[in-house]
Amino acid sequence: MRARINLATKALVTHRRFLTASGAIAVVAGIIFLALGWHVYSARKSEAEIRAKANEVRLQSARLELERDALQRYFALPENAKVHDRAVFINGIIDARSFNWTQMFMDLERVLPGGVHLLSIEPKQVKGRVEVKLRVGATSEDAKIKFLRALEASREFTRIALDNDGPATGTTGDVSTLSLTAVYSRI
Amino acid sequence: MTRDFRLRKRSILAALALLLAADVAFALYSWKMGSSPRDQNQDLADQTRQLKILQADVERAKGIQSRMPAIQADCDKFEHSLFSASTGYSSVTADLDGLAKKAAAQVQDLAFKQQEIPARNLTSVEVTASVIGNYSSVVRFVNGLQRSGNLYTLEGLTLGGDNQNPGHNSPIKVTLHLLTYFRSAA
Repeated sequence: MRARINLATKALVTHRRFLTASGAIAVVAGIIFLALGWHVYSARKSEAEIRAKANEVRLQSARLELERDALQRYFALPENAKVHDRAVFINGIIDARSFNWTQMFMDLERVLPGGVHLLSIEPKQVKGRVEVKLRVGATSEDAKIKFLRALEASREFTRIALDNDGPATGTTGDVSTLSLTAVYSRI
Repeated sequence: MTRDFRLRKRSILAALALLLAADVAFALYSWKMGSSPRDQNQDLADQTRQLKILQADVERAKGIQSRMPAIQADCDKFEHSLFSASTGYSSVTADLDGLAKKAAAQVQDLAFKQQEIPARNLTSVEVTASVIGNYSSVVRFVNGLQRSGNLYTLEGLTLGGDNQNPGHNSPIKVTLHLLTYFRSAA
């Protein structure tokens, strides 16, 4: 007859739970480590690229600033400054001359009703736009109102400001004279 | 055997602690880096924008620099196209009369007021011209002035005070305020 006898002097201790838990933690921590590592690597790579681009931009800026300084010195030379001054003066004359009077007369004809006629007209270049000072005579109140309405409705004459509406002077047969300012533009 | 496992357990725990510490370190580093690339991108975008503005400035200036001789030649050409001061008045009078005749109008009166422009070898001449004609001929005259090869800047126009409601065919008197330039003898 055989009998099983446990001859161990200490109780059997199993480490499976510890090994399983530590293994699981190691796997999760390892995955996190890899993910964060990859993120840090890519972030550092893109940072390095940005730094390189920024350096390139700084170098180009420095080179262009040198070029600009050289050009400024060139334009500041008395003979070149004189050419610039001449060109600005002549361009001013050409701009003033380029105002198209014929076109403006045609546009005015469209807004002048019967009984209203032009007494004076004076265009002026103000801040890149043409401001026209007009003086017109009207033979009746009705014609005057018609003219103002036509002017307000026109696309060519805008920002109309009526400076004066008074009785006509002289022997023109007008009942009133209007002085107004408008911005003239061809659209 | 038990002592062996104790040692092994310590090693495993130490390795796990190390791994977790590395995770925490990476996490902190990532969090810290999280904001900086955005700032750097913004800085780079600003710098690139500034660079483009600077580039455009330099290109424009270079363009002007390369055109300097041509600009100077154009200025000379323009000034040479002006009436000479020695013959200016007769030329303007003849020119305006000719333009009026072509437009079927008549220059009734001409008044001149001249002013030297310092350091430019030019004289500006204000011309006040009274023109008589019907509406169409006056418009034709103004058109002729604008198309003239000689430089006239029409600054203003006043209708004579004694016009009785001018129509297209009734005669009107118009005062034109012109500006022209004479080239002084160098």
